[in-house]
Amino acid sequence: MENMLYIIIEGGLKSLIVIIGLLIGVAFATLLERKVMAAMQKRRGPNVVGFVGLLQPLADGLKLVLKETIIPIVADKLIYAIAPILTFTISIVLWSVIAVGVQSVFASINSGVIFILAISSIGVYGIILAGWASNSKYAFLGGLRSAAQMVSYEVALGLIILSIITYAGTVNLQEIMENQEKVWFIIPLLPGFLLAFISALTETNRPPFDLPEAEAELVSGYNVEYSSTGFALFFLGEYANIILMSVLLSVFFLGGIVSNKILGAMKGVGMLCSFIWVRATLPRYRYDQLMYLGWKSLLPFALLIYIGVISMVLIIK
Amino acid sequence: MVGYRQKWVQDLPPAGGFPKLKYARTSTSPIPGAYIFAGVFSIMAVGTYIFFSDKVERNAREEEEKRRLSMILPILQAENDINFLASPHQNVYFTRWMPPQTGKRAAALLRDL
Repeated sequence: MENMLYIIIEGGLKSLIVIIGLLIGVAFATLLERKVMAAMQKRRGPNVVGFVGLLQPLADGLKLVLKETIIPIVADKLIYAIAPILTFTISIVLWSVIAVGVQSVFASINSGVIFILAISSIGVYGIILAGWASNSKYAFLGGLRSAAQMVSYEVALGLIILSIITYAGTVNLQEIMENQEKVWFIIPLLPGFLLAFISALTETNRPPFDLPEAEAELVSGYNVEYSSTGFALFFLGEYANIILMSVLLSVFFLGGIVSNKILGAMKGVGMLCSFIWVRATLPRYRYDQLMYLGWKSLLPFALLIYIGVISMVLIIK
Repeated sequence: MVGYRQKWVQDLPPAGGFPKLKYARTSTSPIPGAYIFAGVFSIMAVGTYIFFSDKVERNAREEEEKRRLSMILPILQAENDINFLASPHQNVYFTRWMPPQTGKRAAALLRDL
């Protein structure tokens, strides 16, 4: 009984630490994005609330919570309420296998990569349910677009991750990082890194692949009917996924945290800055171009890389 | 009103015509594309060589550890059996519990290597 109580308390504390860390990370990721984009566009960005705008994320969170929760009268109310909770929960669950230090991980799973692929594939349902339950044409189109592009580019990303797994000979994230002790995977697998980066941008609906949230066409897409807490959960889930993709790219291609914890964190933040950099420099794709790129450019190229990797691994013992 | 007092002049091309336009394409990189590709593939080849040489070395090291452990496995099993039988209240005469075989423990150790 004591052991069971200890396990429950320990799990609860770990969960609390992960959630609090994630919320703080998301808050300051939004601030970082606004500041960096402002600098790239020769303006100041948030600079009023707090010292040089450091408290802007807290003000934004407070604003979102205090807004009125509006539920459309024709919406499917149950699914309308479940969808943002599902999206946010899935984005949090993905962090359970991410190591924050050497042997410091919430749930040490030997098949962490498989776990990430499995859980991230469920994330599509939150968006589909949101778009459908809103009973709005714009939200529905946004949901369909988002689901289609996430599924399309997940195939290419999955193939690249398969290449990483084959290269390292393991599906354990810790061991994948240890395999990069001599040389990071970005050097022998540079095309794979580029494909993974593009796929990560698309998975997270980031510019130039933010068609589900195209402001001029669909008025922010699948979450157009959400306000206050619902929108906040979608927002949190989106940015949590962005940070997760940044960390995963640093784990798979830049060595992660195997040598130095601080350096590993800097790699993740560097990838996050790359996400912001792309947003400030590139225009949006057209949807047919998006689908063409995913299925006819990235997928064959990813398959070619995978075949090459398998050939090398089989030849060299 | 000053403009009306000045002599009105037609905005005409300069005498002798406009200069010739430079419509030749400006290269975005002074290095030809083939050289860039060659450089990138060279770096990838060096990285691949370093990685696989390290991988072969790591595999050899792990194989040696496995062989070393398998050599002393019978002794570990014997010690485990002696300790179990010698325990006053936990041997086969007092309980049905049996300790896990050293093989399973060795498998766990091998996995942790």
